[in-house]
Amino acid sequence: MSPLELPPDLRSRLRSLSIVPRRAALLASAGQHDSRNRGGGLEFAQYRAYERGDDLRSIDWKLYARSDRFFVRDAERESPVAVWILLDASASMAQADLARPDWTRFDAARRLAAGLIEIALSQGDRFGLIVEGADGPMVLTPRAGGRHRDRLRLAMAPLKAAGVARWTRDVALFGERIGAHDLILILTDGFDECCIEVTERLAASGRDVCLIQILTGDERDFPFDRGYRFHDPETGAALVADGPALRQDFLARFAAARAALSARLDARGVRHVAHFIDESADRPIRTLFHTTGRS
Amino acid sequence: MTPALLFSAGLLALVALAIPIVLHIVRRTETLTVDFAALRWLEARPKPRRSLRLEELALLAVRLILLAALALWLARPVLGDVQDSRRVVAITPGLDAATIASAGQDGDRLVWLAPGFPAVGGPAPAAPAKVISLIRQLDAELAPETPVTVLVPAVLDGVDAERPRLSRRLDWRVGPPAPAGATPDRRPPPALSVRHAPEAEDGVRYFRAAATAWAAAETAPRLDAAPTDRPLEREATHLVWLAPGPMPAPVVAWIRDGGTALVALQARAPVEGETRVVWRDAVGEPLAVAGRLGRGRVIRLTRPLQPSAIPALVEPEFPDALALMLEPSAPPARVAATDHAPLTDAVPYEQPPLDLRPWLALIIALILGGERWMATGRARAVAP
Repeated sequence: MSPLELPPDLRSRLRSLSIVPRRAALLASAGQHDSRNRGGGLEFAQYRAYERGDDLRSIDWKLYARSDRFFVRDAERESPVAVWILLDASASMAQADLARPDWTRFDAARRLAAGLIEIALSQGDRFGLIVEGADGPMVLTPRAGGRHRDRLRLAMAPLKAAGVARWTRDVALFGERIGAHDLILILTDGFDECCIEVTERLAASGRDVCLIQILTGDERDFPFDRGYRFHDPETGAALVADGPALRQDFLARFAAARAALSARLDARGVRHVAHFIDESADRPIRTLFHTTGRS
Repeated sequence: MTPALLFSAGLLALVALAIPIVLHIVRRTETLTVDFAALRWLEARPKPRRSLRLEELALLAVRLILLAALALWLARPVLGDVQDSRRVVAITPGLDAATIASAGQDGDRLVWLAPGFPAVGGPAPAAPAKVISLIRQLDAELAPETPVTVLVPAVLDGVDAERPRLSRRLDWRVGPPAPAGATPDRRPPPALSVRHAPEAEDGVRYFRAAATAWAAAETAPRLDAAPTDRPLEREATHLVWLAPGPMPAPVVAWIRDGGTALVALQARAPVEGETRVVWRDAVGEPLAVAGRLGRGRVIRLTRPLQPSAIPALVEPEFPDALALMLEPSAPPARVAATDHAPLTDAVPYEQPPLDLRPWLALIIALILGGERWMATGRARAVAP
């Protein structure tokens, strides 16, 4: 199944989810996201009856003169939030489970991205995409609307995870393109130290950064029951060893590494969650945005 | 039934059983490569203890069985004493239908007494020329305890001079007497060709006298007498050579081609193999010896062709003796079947054991097919 086709049950669960910026409390109240932009954009949307509290300036006086009623010109309001999805396309993302060799970490990340785009579209936010691969980043500037969603899906469909992503090279570009108040969602396996550093720098610059660490089921369960040659696709290093002998030690060390990463991200105020590729794609979104509720 | 191995050294091939065991152990150490990005949290500890663990035990078992069967095949397994103990009823083709119908009971094996011993039921084969030979073969091919009934006609043709000696007591049944056939005609007397040297023309008269005696009354004798330089006629079958010295090559070639030649004492005719006496005088002294040359015969006189040396030349029995020399009559070969019942003092024949290799080869092929199916099945990732 293509990672960009969302199954119906997932789609229905996504409908109840939303992407919540951290600094929502700072914004004034209007629309789904609280906005500090008073008034609307310039695009005319519709007339509606005047209600108490509406700005007097927004009353269409000419229409009042004709109809003797107060009408308010409602304008298309531009969403204040842009959601950036940073997709890690390094070679380590191509890893799959033993049990399901055709479903890679990158497939799970793309499905997650597709789900996030659906949510952002439904709440009227602008959304953009940066794919960080070996050949430099592919940037799709945030815009709203269904056509932009299709554009992003079209761009994601042929992608392959390969090579080594150079995050530090592109961090300047990120700072340039990503607005100071945008929401950044990083989809990565989190094994790359540079990636974590870039996350920390983006968070330090005051941007709202979320990190979804995408892990395989093998890294959680370590089901290798015989001798294997473990090969790191990015460094090329290899280790020949017996699976059961490694399991206990690996699980302990991997849990410790995840705890360390969690502490690091917490210290920078980066919201983060782990997502295993054999789980449903709505779980990390729910965990990330709905455990604490809207503040 | 006694199983045995004709070539026990073939079991040395069982050493090959080690091959699949080693393969199954070695293949385990071949490791599959997996991508694992979290490699840095894997500790490269010293290699774990090598435990002799065999994988895919079912496949290994099938391979071991296959190799064991191959080794057994090399050892040539046989099964002794496998014999059909049913009564065998052998029927001579040509017996009348009523005799054949009453021959066997249920459970008997009815065969024709013919080459290959075809089962009764199919078309009857032609009557065999040598019935006794076939009975001997039947006796040799059957186990000693198998009872045998033989149905023969009242008169047997082509028998030997002796009653057959078999290893068992046959149930010797003689069919009804056949209607008496006409006795064969007497053979016509041989036609003589005489070739003589000029000085030996005197000897021709004895043969002319003999030819005249053979011929029926009022008919000319069949005699072609001429000097040696005249070639033989095409239909000549019997030659009398009365010339000293070696025989010319065309005459030798004629003898090799199937002719019969009576040569005088002074003539030198080549003879192959041994000679035997074919004519003796009244006191038993040899007068002529016969030998073989190619497909023909050479009869050589041992004395000069003169009545003083061979008094029988002028005796009235000379034509008969000459005819018998030139055309020896066949030995008698017809006997009443009741008088020719086989004797039972032969040593029983060793029966060849049943060779199990064709069946074993079939089993090996089946096991091989199963092994390939298991080894290349969909469930296995890599075929070794």
